[in-house]
Amino acid sequence: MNASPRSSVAEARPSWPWALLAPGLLWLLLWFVAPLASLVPMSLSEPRDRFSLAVNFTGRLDNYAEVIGQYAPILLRSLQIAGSASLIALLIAYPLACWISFRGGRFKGLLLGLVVVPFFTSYLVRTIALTTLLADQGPVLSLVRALGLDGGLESIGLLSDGRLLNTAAAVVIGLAYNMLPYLVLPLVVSLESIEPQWLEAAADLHAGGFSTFYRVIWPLSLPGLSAGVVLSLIPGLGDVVNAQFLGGPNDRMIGNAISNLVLVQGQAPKAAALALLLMTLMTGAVLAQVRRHGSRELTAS
Amino acid sequence: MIAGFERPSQGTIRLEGVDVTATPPHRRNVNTVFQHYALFPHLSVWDNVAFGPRSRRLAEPEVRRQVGEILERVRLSELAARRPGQLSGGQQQRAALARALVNQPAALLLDEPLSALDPGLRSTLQEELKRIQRECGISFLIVTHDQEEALALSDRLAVMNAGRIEQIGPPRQVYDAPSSSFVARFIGRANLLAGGDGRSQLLLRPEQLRLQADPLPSDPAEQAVRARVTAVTFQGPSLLVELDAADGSPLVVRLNRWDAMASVRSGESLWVVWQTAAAHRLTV
Repeated sequence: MNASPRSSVAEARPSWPWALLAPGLLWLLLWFVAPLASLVPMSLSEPRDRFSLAVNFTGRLDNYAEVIGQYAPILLRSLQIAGSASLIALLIAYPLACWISFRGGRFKGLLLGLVVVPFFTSYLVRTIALTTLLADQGPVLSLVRALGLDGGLESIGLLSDGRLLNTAAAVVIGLAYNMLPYLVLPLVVSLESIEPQWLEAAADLHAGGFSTFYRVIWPLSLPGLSAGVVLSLIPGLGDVVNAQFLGGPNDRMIGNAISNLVLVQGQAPKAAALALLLMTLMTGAVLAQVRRHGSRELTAS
Repeated sequence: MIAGFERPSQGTIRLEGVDVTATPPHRRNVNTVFQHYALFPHLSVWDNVAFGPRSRRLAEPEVRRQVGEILERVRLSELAARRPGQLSGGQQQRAALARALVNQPAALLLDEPLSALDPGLRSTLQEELKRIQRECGISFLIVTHDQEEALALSDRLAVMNAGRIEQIGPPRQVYDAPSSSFVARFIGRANLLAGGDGRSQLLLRPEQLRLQADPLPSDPAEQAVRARVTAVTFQGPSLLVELDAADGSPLVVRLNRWDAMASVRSGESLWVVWQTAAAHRLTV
Protein backbone atom coordinates (compact mmCIF):
# COMPACT_ATOMS: atom_id res chain seq x y z
CA MET A 1 0.00 0.00 0.00
CA ASN A 2 2.68 2.49 0.96
CA ALA A 3 4.53 1.80 -2.28
CA SER A 4 1.79 3.29 -4.44
CA PRO A 5 3.30 4.69 -7.64
CA ARG A 6 3.93 8.39 -7.86
CA SER A 7 1.94 8.80 -11.06
CA SER A 8 -1.31 8.02 -9.25
CA VAL A 9 -0.69 11.00 -6.97
CA ALA A 10 -0.23 13.24 -9.98
CA GLU A 11 -3.38 11.87 -11.56
CA ALA A 12 -5.31 12.61 -8.42
CA ARG A 13 -4.72 16.33 -8.85
CA PRO A 14 -7.57 17.73 -10.92
CA SER A 15 -6.76 19.82 -13.96
CA TRP A 16 -9.84 22.03 -13.89
CA PRO A 17 -8.30 24.75 -11.65
CA TRP A 18 -6.30 25.73 -14.73
CA ALA A 19 -9.60 26.70 -16.29
CA LEU A 20 -9.84 29.49 -13.72
CA LEU A 21 -6.85 31.06 -15.42
CA ALA A 22 -8.50 31.04 -18.82
CA PRO A 23 -10.51 34.30 -18.72
CA GLY A 24 -7.56 36.35 -17.47
CA LEU A 25 -5.18 34.65 -19.83
CA LEU A 26 -7.48 35.27 -22.78
CA TRP A 27 -7.93 38.91 -21.82
CA LEU A 28 -4.18 39.47 -21.58
CA LEU A 29 -3.55 37.67 -24.87
CA LEU A 30 -6.12 39.76 -26.68
CA TRP A 31 -5.35 43.20 -25.29
CA PHE A 32 -1.77 43.00 -24.13
CA VAL A 33 0.25 40.32 -25.88
CA ALA A 34 -1.35 40.76 -29.33
CA PRO A 35 -0.94 44.57 -29.55
CA LEU A 36 2.57 44.31 -28.15
CA ALA A 37 3.45 41.62 -30.67
CA SER A 38 2.05 43.76 -33.48
CA LEU A 39 4.55 46.46 -32.46
CA VAL A 40 7.41 44.18 -33.45
CA PRO A 41 6.73 44.18 -37.23
CA MET A 42 5.76 47.84 -37.01
CA SER A 43 9.10 48.72 -35.43
CA LEU A 44 10.77 47.13 -38.47
CA SER A 45 8.75 49.12 -41.01
CA GLU A 46 8.82 52.48 -42.79
CA PRO A 47 6.00 55.04 -42.83
CA ARG A 48 4.06 54.94 -46.13
CA ASP A 49 3.49 58.69 -46.23
CA ARG A 50 3.59 61.72 -43.92
CA PHE A 51 -0.14 61.95 -43.36
CA SER A 52 -1.25 58.60 -41.97
CA LEU A 53 0.02 55.90 -39.63
CA ALA A 54 0.06 53.32 -42.43
CA VAL A 55 3.41 51.49 -42.76
CA ASN A 56 5.27 49.25 -45.20
CA PHE A 57 7.15 46.35 -43.66
CA THR A 58 10.76 46.51 -44.85
CA GLY A 59 12.62 44.76 -42.04
CA ARG A 60 14.34 48.04 -41.27
CA LEU A 61 16.49 47.56 -38.12
CA ASP A 62 17.82 51.10 -38.42
CA ASN A 63 14.74 52.35 -36.54
CA TYR A 64 16.29 50.96 -33.36
CA ALA A 65 19.70 52.47 -33.99
CA GLU A 66 18.15 55.82 -34.80
CA VAL A 67 15.86 56.02 -31.76
CA ILE A 68 18.69 54.95 -29.46
CA GLY A 69 20.91 57.68 -30.87
CA GLN A 70 18.19 60.29 -30.90
CA TYR A 71 16.34 59.57 -27.66
CA ALA A 72 19.05 58.30 -25.31
CA PRO A 73 19.35 61.75 -23.68
CA ILE A 74 15.56 61.93 -23.15
CA LEU A 75 15.54 58.40 -21.78
CA LEU A 76 18.31 59.35 -19.40
CA ARG A 77 16.48 62.48 -18.29
CA SER A 78 13.28 60.47 -17.84
CA LEU A 79 15.19 58.09 -15.62
CA GLN A 80 16.53 61.03 -13.62
CA ILE A 81 13.11 62.63 -13.22
CA ALA A 82 11.29 59.40 -12.40
CA GLY A 83 14.17 58.31 -10.13
CA SER A 84 14.15 61.57 -8.14
CA ALA A 85 10.38 61.42 -7.87
CA SER A 86 10.57 57.83 -6.64
CA LEU A 87 13.25 58.76 -4.10
CA ILE A 88 11.28 61.74 -2.77
CA ALA A 89 8.10 59.67 -2.59
CA LEU A 90 10.08 56.99 -0.75
CA LEU A 91 11.38 59.47 1.82
CA ILE A 92 7.77 60.38 2.57
CA ALA A 93 6.33 56.87 2.22
CA TYR A 94 8.79 54.99 4.47
CA PRO A 95 8.12 56.84 7.72
CA LEU A 96 4.42 56.93 6.85
CA ALA A 97 4.32 53.16 6.31
CA CYS A 98 6.26 52.59 9.55
CA TRP A 99 3.86 54.75 11.44
CA ILE A 100 0.80 53.02 9.97
CA SER A 101 2.20 49.54 10.67
CA PHE A 102 3.61 50.05 14.14
CA ARG A 103 1.44 52.84 15.54
CA GLY A 104 -1.71 52.58 13.44
CA GLY A 105 -3.49 50.35 15.94
CA ARG A 106 -7.18 50.16 15.21
CA PHE A 107 -6.95 53.06 12.75
CA LYS A 108 -4.72 51.04 10.44
CA GLY A 109 -7.50 50.28 7.98
CA LEU A 110 -8.68 53.88 7.95
CA LEU A 111 -5.15 55.22 7.40
CA LEU A 112 -4.54 52.81 4.54
CA GLY A 113 -7.89 53.87 3.09
CA LEU A 114 -6.76 57.50 3.21
CA VAL A 115 -3.60 56.57 1.31
CA VAL A 116 -5.75 55.02 -1.41
CA VAL A 117 -8.40 57.79 -1.52
CA PRO A 118 -6.67 59.77 -4.33
CA PHE A 119 -7.38 56.81 -6.62
CA PHE A 120 -11.07 57.73 -6.41
CA THR A 121 -10.37 60.71 -8.67
CA SER A 122 -9.00 60.43 -12.15
CA TYR A 123 -5.25 60.60 -12.49
CA LEU A 124 -5.58 63.33 -15.10
CA VAL A 125 -7.83 65.49 -12.91
CA ARG A 126 -5.46 65.16 -9.94
CA THR A 127 -2.49 66.20 -12.02
CA ILE A 128 -4.30 69.16 -13.57
CA ALA A 129 -5.36 70.20 -10.07
CA LEU A 130 -1.66 70.39 -9.21
CA THR A 131 -1.21 73.09 -11.87
CA THR A 132 -3.43 75.35 -9.73
CA LEU A 133 -1.42 74.57 -6.60
CA LEU A 134 1.93 75.12 -8.28
CA ALA A 135 0.90 78.17 -10.38
CA ASP A 136 2.84 81.45 -10.17
CA GLN A 137 0.22 82.99 -7.86
CA GLY A 138 -0.79 79.63 -6.35
CA PRO A 139 -0.69 78.69 -2.67
CA VAL A 140 2.64 76.84 -2.78
CA LEU A 141 4.64 79.70 -4.24
CA SER A 142 2.81 82.25 -2.06
CA LEU A 143 3.87 80.29 1.01
CA VAL A 144 7.43 79.96 -0.25
CA ARG A 145 7.62 83.72 -0.88
CA ALA A 146 6.00 84.54 2.46
CA LEU A 147 8.64 82.43 4.21
CA GLY A 148 11.35 84.13 2.13
CA LEU A 149 12.55 80.80 0.81
CA ASP A 150 12.29 81.72 -2.89
CA GLY A 151 15.89 82.92 -3.15
CA GLY A 152 17.26 79.75 -1.58
CA LEU A 153 15.11 77.44 -3.68
CA GLU A 154 16.09 79.36 -6.82
CA SER A 155 19.78 78.88 -6.05
CA ILE A 156 19.44 75.09 -5.68
CA GLY A 157 17.49 74.94 -8.95
CA LEU A 158 14.06 74.11 -7.58
CA LEU A 159 12.62 77.36 -8.90
CA SER A 160 13.48 78.94 -12.22
CA ASP A 161 12.90 82.69 -12.55
CA GLY A 162 10.62 82.47 -9.52
CA ARG A 163 8.39 79.91 -11.21
CA LEU A 164 7.56 76.34 -10.26
CA LEU A 165 5.00 75.38 -12.87
CA ASN A 166 6.55 74.31 -16.18
CA THR A 167 9.82 73.24 -14.52
CA ALA A 168 11.39 69.83 -14.06
CA ALA A 169 10.87 70.28 -10.29
CA ALA A 170 7.10 70.44 -10.85
CA VAL A 171 7.21 67.21 -12.87
CA VAL A 172 9.10 65.53 -10.04
CA ILE A 173 6.60 66.83 -7.47
CA GLY A 174 3.65 65.65 -9.55
CA LEU A 175 5.14 62.22 -10.12
CA ALA A 176 6.14 61.82 -6.48
CA TYR A 177 2.60 62.70 -5.42
CA ASN A 178 1.10 60.20 -7.81
CA MET A 179 3.59 57.48 -6.79
CA LEU A 180 2.99 57.69 -3.04
CA PRO A 181 0.33 54.95 -2.69
CA TYR A 182 2.36 52.56 -4.85
CA LEU A 183 5.20 52.87 -2.36
CA VAL A 184 3.19 52.95 0.85
CA LEU A 185 1.12 49.82 0.19
CA PRO A 186 3.92 47.29 -0.48
CA LEU A 187 5.96 48.81 2.34
CA VAL A 188 3.09 48.30 4.76
CA VAL A 189 2.73 44.69 3.56
CA SER A 190 6.41 44.12 4.33
CA LEU A 191 6.38 45.88 7.68
CA GLU A 192 3.23 44.05 8.74
CA SER A 193 5.11 40.76 8.44
CA ILE A 194 7.53 41.87 11.15
CA GLU A 195 6.53 40.12 14.37
CA PRO A 196 6.47 42.38 17.43
CA GLN A 197 8.37 39.58 19.18
CA TRP A 198 11.38 40.17 16.90
CA LEU A 199 11.54 43.76 18.07
CA GLU A 200 11.30 42.59 21.68
CA ALA A 201 14.05 40.06 20.98
CA ALA A 202 16.25 42.82 19.55
CA ALA A 203 15.74 44.93 22.68
CA ASP A 204 16.39 41.86 24.82
CA LEU A 205 19.68 41.38 22.95
CA HIS A 206 20.81 44.87 23.92
CA ALA A 207 19.98 46.67 20.65
CA GLY A 208 18.73 50.24 21.07
CA GLY A 209 16.08 51.85 18.88
CA PHE A 210 18.32 52.82 15.99
CA SER A 211 20.20 49.53 16.03
CA THR A 212 16.89 47.63 16.01
CA PHE A 213 15.75 49.67 13.03
CA TYR A 214 18.70 49.12 10.80
CA ARG A 215 19.42 45.50 11.76
CA VAL A 216 15.86 44.16 11.93
CA ILE A 217 13.21 46.49 10.50
CA TRP A 218 15.18 47.82 7.52
CA PRO A 219 16.37 44.44 6.14
CA LEU A 220 12.92 42.92 6.60
CA SER A 221 11.30 45.84 4.77
CA LEU A 222 13.59 45.54 1.74
CA PRO A 223 11.25 43.29 -0.28
CA GLY A 224 8.45 45.86 0.10
CA LEU A 225 10.84 48.69 -0.61
CA SER A 226 12.08 47.17 -3.81
CA ALA A 227 8.54 46.25 -4.89
CA GLY A 228 7.43 49.82 -4.20
CA VAL A 229 10.30 51.28 -6.17
CA VAL A 230 9.50 49.03 -9.15
CA LEU A 231 5.78 49.78 -8.91
CA SER A 232 6.38 53.54 -8.79
CA LEU A 233 9.34 53.81 -11.14
CA ILE A 234 7.74 51.95 -14.04
CA PRO A 235 4.58 54.04 -14.43
CA GLY A 236 6.71 57.09 -13.61
CA LEU A 237 9.17 56.34 -16.39
CA GLY A 238 6.45 55.89 -18.98
CA ASP A 239 4.36 58.79 -17.72
CA VAL A 240 3.02 61.34 -20.19
CA VAL A 241 0.59 63.40 -18.14
CA ASN A 242 2.85 64.99 -15.52
CA ALA A 243 5.46 66.21 -17.99
CA GLN A 244 2.75 67.51 -20.30
CA PHE A 245 0.85 69.52 -17.71
CA LEU A 246 3.49 70.41 -15.13
CA GLY A 247 6.71 70.50 -17.14
CA GLY A 248 8.13 72.98 -19.60
CA PRO A 249 9.11 72.31 -23.19
CA ASN A 250 12.52 71.00 -22.09
CA ASP A 251 11.13 68.62 -19.48
CA ARG A 252 9.58 66.12 -21.87
CA MET A 253 9.90 62.51 -20.87
CA ILE A 254 10.17 59.38 -22.95
CA GLY A 255 6.39 58.90 -22.92
CA ASN A 256 5.92 62.36 -24.41
CA ALA A 257 8.51 61.55 -27.04
CA ILE A 258 6.64 58.40 -28.07
CA SER A 259 3.32 60.22 -28.23
CA ASN A 260 4.95 63.03 -30.21
CA LEU A 261 6.44 60.55 -32.70
CA VAL A 262 3.03 59.05 -33.37
CA LEU A 263 0.72 62.03 -33.19
CA VAL A 264 2.89 64.84 -34.56
CA GLN A 265 5.66 63.37 -36.66
CA GLY A 266 3.72 60.42 -38.07
CA GLN A 267 6.68 58.14 -37.28
CA ALA A 268 4.82 55.10 -35.97
CA PRO A 269 7.72 52.65 -36.64
CA LYS A 270 10.17 54.66 -34.58
CA ALA A 271 7.56 55.07 -31.84
CA ALA A 272 7.09 51.32 -31.86
CA ALA A 273 10.84 50.72 -31.61
CA LEU A 274 11.15 53.17 -28.73
CA ALA A 275 8.15 51.68 -26.92
CA LEU A 276 9.55 48.16 -27.28
CA LEU A 277 12.94 49.26 -25.95
CA LEU A 278 11.28 50.85 -22.93
CA MET A 279 9.12 47.77 -22.42
CA THR A 280 12.20 45.51 -22.47
CA LEU A 281 13.94 47.71 -19.93
CA MET A 282 10.98 47.64 -17.55
CA THR A 283 10.34 43.92 -17.94
CA GLY A 284 13.97 43.33 -17.07
CA ALA A 285 13.57 45.41 -13.91
CA VAL A 286 10.43 43.53 -12.83
CA LEU A 287 12.00 40.13 -13.48
CA ALA A 288 15.06 41.12 -11.46
CA GLN A 289 12.79 42.21 -8.60
CA VAL A 290 10.73 39.00 -8.67
CA ARG A 291 13.87 36.87 -8.83
CA ARG A 292 15.30 38.58 -5.82
CA HIS A 293 12.33 39.03 -3.55
CA GLY A 294 9.48 36.98 -5.02
CA SER A 295 6.21 38.49 -6.15
CA ARG A 296 4.37 38.67 -2.84
CA GLU A 297 4.81 42.40 -2.18
CA LEU A 298 4.25 43.27 -5.85
CA THR A 299 0.91 41.53 -5.96
CA ALA A 300 -0.26 41.99 -2.40
CA SER A 301 -1.09 45.61 -3.08
CA MET B 1 8.81 42.60 34.03
CA ILE B 2 12.13 40.95 34.75
CA ALA B 3 13.17 41.38 31.12
CA GLY B 4 11.90 44.96 31.26
CA PHE B 5 9.09 44.89 28.70
CA GLU B 6 6.55 45.79 31.33
CA ARG B 7 6.77 48.10 34.32
CA PRO B 8 5.56 46.80 37.68
CA SER B 9 2.81 48.89 39.27
CA GLN B 10 4.67 48.67 42.55
CA GLY B 11 7.74 47.13 44.14
CA THR B 12 11.30 46.89 42.87
CA ILE B 13 13.22 44.43 40.74
CA ARG B 14 16.78 43.81 41.85
CA LEU B 15 19.37 42.11 39.71
CA GLU B 16 22.62 41.12 41.41
CA GLY B 17 21.65 43.56 44.15
CA VAL B 18 21.08 46.52 41.80
CA ASP B 19 17.65 48.08 41.37
CA VAL B 20 16.78 47.74 37.65
CA THR B 21 13.07 48.60 37.91
CA ALA B 22 13.43 51.60 35.59
CA THR B 23 16.10 50.16 33.29
CA PRO B 24 14.94 49.54 29.70
CA PRO B 25 15.28 45.97 28.32
CA HIS B 26 18.33 46.62 26.16
CA ARG B 27 20.34 47.84 29.15
CA ARG B 28 19.48 44.92 31.43
CA ASN B 29 21.87 42.10 32.00
CA VAL B 30 19.06 39.60 31.42
CA ASN B 31 18.29 37.65 28.28
CA THR B 32 15.20 35.80 27.20
CA VAL B 33 14.34 32.64 25.32
CA PHE B 34 10.97 33.55 23.88
CA GLN B 35 8.11 31.07 23.75
CA HIS B 36 8.20 30.86 19.96
CA TYR B 37 11.92 31.65 19.95
CA ALA B 38 11.54 34.91 17.94
CA LEU B 39 14.64 34.12 15.90
CA PHE B 40 15.34 36.75 13.23
CA PRO B 41 14.20 35.16 9.97
CA HIS B 42 16.57 37.15 7.75
CA LEU B 43 19.71 36.16 9.64
CA SER B 44 21.60 32.88 9.75
CA VAL B 45 21.90 30.98 13.02
CA TRP B 46 25.39 32.43 13.37
CA ASP B 47 24.22 36.03 12.86
CA ASN B 48 21.27 35.48 15.19
CA VAL B 49 23.64 34.38 17.93
CA ALA B 50 26.08 37.21 17.11
CA PHE B 51 23.28 39.78 17.41
CA GLY B 52 23.76 40.38 21.13
CA PRO B 53 27.58 40.55 21.14
CA ARG B 54 27.47 42.94 18.17
CA SER B 55 24.92 45.12 19.98
CA ARG B 56 27.42 45.37 22.79
CA ARG B 57 30.04 46.40 20.21
CA LEU B 58 32.49 43.64 20.96
CA ALA B 59 35.43 43.38 18.56
CA GLU B 60 34.63 41.03 15.69
CA PRO B 61 37.30 38.40 16.60
CA GLU B 62 35.84 38.27 20.11
CA VAL B 63 32.32 37.95 18.66
CA ARG B 64 33.55 35.05 16.51
CA ARG B 65 35.15 33.34 19.46
CA GLN B 66 32.09 33.65 21.73
CA VAL B 67 29.58 32.66 19.07
CA GLY B 68 31.69 29.67 17.99
CA GLU B 69 32.00 28.53 21.59
CA ILE B 70 28.33 28.75 22.44
CA LEU B 71 27.25 27.07 19.17
CA GLU B 72 29.61 24.25 20.09
CA ARG B 73 27.97 23.98 23.48
CA VAL B 74 24.42 23.73 22.11
CA ARG B 75 25.70 21.46 19.30
CA LEU B 76 24.66 23.69 16.40
CA SER B 77 28.07 24.39 14.88
CA GLU B 78 27.24 22.37 11.78
CA LEU B 79 24.06 24.37 11.14
CA ALA B 80 25.47 27.84 11.76
CA ALA B 81 24.92 28.96 8.17
CA ARG B 82 21.25 27.98 8.07
CA ARG B 83 18.31 30.34 8.39
CA PRO B 84 15.84 29.69 11.25
CA GLY B 85 13.23 28.56 8.71
CA GLN B 86 15.51 25.66 7.76
CA LEU B 87 15.77 24.30 11.32
CA SER B 88 13.59 21.82 13.18
CA GLY B 89 11.75 22.93 16.31
CA GLY B 90 14.39 21.48 18.63
CA GLN B 91 17.21 23.11 16.68
CA GLN B 92 15.43 26.46 16.76
CA GLN B 93 15.06 26.08 20.49
CA ARG B 94 18.80 25.50 20.90
CA ALA B 95 19.57 28.42 18.59
CA ALA B 96 17.38 30.68 20.71
CA LEU B 97 19.13 29.38 23.82
CA ALA B 98 22.55 30.08 22.31
CA ARG B 99 21.50 33.55 21.19
CA ALA B 100 20.52 34.43 24.75
CA LEU B 101 23.34 32.61 26.58
CA VAL B 102 26.15 34.08 24.51
CA ASN B 103 25.59 37.36 26.35
CA GLN B 104 26.43 35.69 29.67
CA PRO B 105 23.45 37.26 31.42
CA ALA B 106 23.03 37.41 35.18
CA ALA B 107 19.83 35.46 34.63
CA LEU B 108 18.26 33.74 31.66
CA LEU B 109 14.50 33.88 31.28
CA LEU B 110 12.78 31.03 29.47
CA ASP B 111 9.15 31.51 28.54
CA GLU B 112 7.64 28.03 28.17
CA PRO B 113 10.78 26.96 26.33
CA LEU B 114 9.61 23.46 25.49
CA SER B 115 5.90 24.02 24.91
CA ALA B 116 6.22 24.33 21.14
CA LEU B 117 7.90 20.92 20.83
CA ASP B 118 6.42 17.46 20.55
CA PRO B 119 6.52 15.33 23.73
CA GLY B 120 9.33 12.98 22.67
CA LEU B 121 11.66 15.83 21.87
CA ARG B 122 10.64 17.61 25.02
CA SER B 123 12.20 15.14 27.43
CA THR B 124 15.45 14.99 25.44
CA LEU B 125 15.67 18.77 25.50
CA GLN B 126 14.89 18.87 29.21
CA GLU B 127 18.09 16.92 29.81
CA GLU B 128 19.93 19.11 27.31
CA LEU B 129 18.69 22.26 29.03
CA LYS B 130 19.87 20.96 32.41
CA ARG B 131 23.29 20.04 31.03
CA ILE B 132 23.75 23.48 29.47
CA GLN B 133 22.63 25.21 32.62
CA ARG B 134 25.11 23.24 34.75
CA GLU B 135 27.91 23.98 32.30
CA CYS B 136 27.24 27.71 32.09
CA GLY B 137 26.44 28.22 35.74
CA ILE B 138 23.86 30.88 34.84
CA SER B 139 20.54 31.00 36.68
CA PHE B 140 17.67 29.91 34.45
CA LEU B 141 14.25 31.31 35.29
CA ILE B 142 11.76 29.06 33.55
CA VAL B 143 8.06 29.74 33.18
CA THR B 144 6.00 26.66 32.43
CA HIS B 145 2.47 25.32 32.69
CA ASP B 146 3.75 21.76 32.57
CA GLN B 147 4.01 20.54 36.17
CA GLU B 148 6.13 17.52 35.32
CA GLU B 149 8.51 19.78 33.45
CA ALA B 150 8.65 22.10 36.44
CA LEU B 151 9.44 19.23 38.82
CA ALA B 152 12.01 17.69 36.51
CA LEU B 153 13.89 20.85 35.56
CA SER B 154 14.07 22.96 38.66
CA ASP B 155 16.29 23.36 41.66
CA ARG B 156 13.84 25.81 43.10
CA LEU B 157 10.19 25.87 42.18
CA ALA B 158 7.73 28.72 42.68
CA VAL B 159 4.01 28.10 42.27
CA MET B 160 2.18 31.23 41.21
CA ASN B 161 -1.54 31.86 41.49
CA ALA B 162 -3.14 35.05 40.13
CA GLY B 163 0.16 36.92 40.17
CA ARG B 164 1.21 35.84 43.65
CA ILE B 165 3.79 33.29 44.69
CA GLU B 166 1.95 30.63 46.70
CA GLN B 167 5.03 28.65 47.59
CA ILE B 168 8.69 28.60 46.73
CA GLY B 169 11.13 25.82 47.49
CA PRO B 170 12.90 22.72 46.18
CA PRO B 171 10.59 20.64 43.95
CA ARG B 172 10.50 17.71 46.41
CA GLN B 173 9.39 19.99 49.20
CA VAL B 174 6.70 21.64 47.06
CA TYR B 175 5.41 18.23 46.03
CA ASP B 176 5.59 16.49 49.42
CA ALA B 177 4.76 19.41 51.68
CA PRO B 178 2.69 21.97 49.79
CA SER B 179 1.75 25.05 51.74
CA SER B 180 -1.84 25.23 50.51
CA SER B 181 -4.49 23.10 48.87
CA PHE B 182 -4.01 25.17 45.68
CA VAL B 183 -0.36 24.13 45.46
CA ALA B 184 -1.24 20.54 46.35
CA ARG B 185 -3.76 20.35 43.51
CA PHE B 186 -1.67 22.32 41.04
CA ILE B 187 1.44 20.16 41.27
CA GLY B 188 0.57 16.53 40.72
CA ARG B 189 -2.70 14.85 41.71
CA ALA B 190 -3.90 15.20 45.25
CA ASN B 191 -6.30 13.47 47.62
CA LEU B 192 -7.45 15.92 50.25
CA LEU B 193 -9.20 14.36 53.23
CA ALA B 194 -10.82 16.07 56.17
CA GLY B 195 -8.24 16.40 58.96
CA GLY B 196 -10.67 15.49 61.69
CA ASP B 197 -10.30 18.78 63.57
CA GLY B 198 -12.32 20.88 61.05
CA ARG B 199 -9.42 23.25 60.45
CA SER B 200 -6.98 21.11 58.53
CA GLN B 201 -6.84 18.73 55.57
CA LEU B 202 -4.73 15.67 54.98
CA LEU B 203 -2.86 15.42 51.70
CA LEU B 204 -2.18 11.99 50.25
CA ARG B 205 -0.62 11.57 46.82
CA PRO B 206 -2.18 8.82 44.63
CA GLU B 207 0.98 6.72 44.87
CA GLN B 208 0.83 6.78 48.69
CA LEU B 209 -2.50 4.94 48.67
CA ARG B 210 -3.07 1.24 48.33
CA LEU B 211 -6.13 -0.84 47.60
CA GLN B 212 -7.19 -4.00 49.36
CA ALA B 213 -10.27 -6.14 49.38
CA ASP B 214 -10.31 -7.02 53.08
CA PRO B 215 -11.01 -4.60 55.87
CA LEU B 216 -8.11 -3.05 57.70
CA PRO B 217 -5.73 -5.43 59.46
CA SER B 218 -4.80 -4.47 62.96
CA ASP B 219 -1.72 -2.39 62.02
CA PRO B 220 -1.97 0.75 64.15
CA ALA B 221 0.25 2.69 61.72
CA GLU B 222 -2.34 2.47 58.96
CA GLN B 223 -5.72 3.96 58.26
CA ALA B 224 -8.39 3.08 55.73
CA VAL B 225 -11.67 4.20 54.20
CA ARG B 226 -14.17 2.22 52.18
CA ALA B 227 -14.70 3.36 48.61
CA ARG B 228 -16.25 2.34 45.33
CA VAL B 229 -14.29 2.30 42.08
CA THR B 230 -15.68 4.72 39.47
CA ALA B 231 -13.02 4.55 36.78
CA VAL B 232 -9.77 2.77 35.94
CA THR B 233 -7.31 4.37 33.51
CA PHE B 234 -4.42 2.40 32.06
CA GLN B 235 -1.33 4.61 31.81
CA GLY B 236 1.39 2.19 30.74
CA PRO B 237 3.62 1.59 33.77
CA SER B 238 0.80 2.47 36.16
CA LEU B 239 -2.95 2.42 36.60
CA LEU B 240 -4.97 5.33 37.85
CA VAL B 241 -7.97 4.20 39.85
CA GLU B 242 -10.65 6.75 40.69
CA LEU B 243 -12.99 6.05 43.57
CA ASP B 244 -15.79 7.58 45.61
CA ALA B 245 -15.29 7.33 49.37
CA ALA B 246 -18.20 6.38 51.60
CA ASP B 247 -18.67 10.06 52.52
CA GLY B 248 -18.82 10.98 48.82
CA SER B 249 -15.38 12.60 48.49
CA PRO B 250 -13.42 11.54 45.39
CA LEU B 251 -10.15 9.64 45.71
CA VAL B 252 -7.51 8.71 43.20
CA VAL B 253 -5.01 5.87 43.63
CA ARG B 254 -2.00 5.07 41.47
CA LEU B 255 -1.17 1.38 41.27
CA ASN B 256 1.87 -0.31 39.85
CA ARG B 257 0.58 -2.25 36.88
CA TRP B 258 1.82 -5.53 38.51
CA ASP B 259 0.00 -4.69 41.76
CA ALA B 260 -2.21 -7.50 43.07
CA MET B 261 -5.22 -5.19 42.69
CA ALA B 262 -4.42 -4.15 39.14
CA SER B 263 -7.44 -6.02 37.79
CA VAL B 264 -10.03 -3.92 39.68
CA ARG B 265 -13.07 -2.83 37.73
CA SER B 266 -15.52 0.00 38.02
CA GLY B 267 -18.25 -0.60 40.55
CA GLU B 268 -16.21 -2.77 42.93
CA SER B 269 -16.14 -1.74 46.57
CA LEU B 270 -12.73 -1.80 48.24
CA TRP B 271 -10.65 -0.45 51.06
CA VAL B 272 -8.25 2.44 50.45
CA VAL B 273 -5.34 2.19 52.88
CA TRP B 274 -2.44 4.50 53.77
CA GLN B 275 0.31 4.95 56.32
CA THR B 276 -0.90 7.52 58.83
CA ALA B 277 2.57 9.06 58.97
CA ALA B 278 2.67 9.60 55.21
CA ALA B 279 -0.18 12.11 55.26
CA HIS B 280 0.83 15.76 55.06
CA ARG B 281 -1.36 18.07 57.15
CA LEU B 282 -2.52 21.29 55.46
CA THR B 283 -3.98 24.12 57.49
CA VAL B 284 -7.07 25.51 55.79
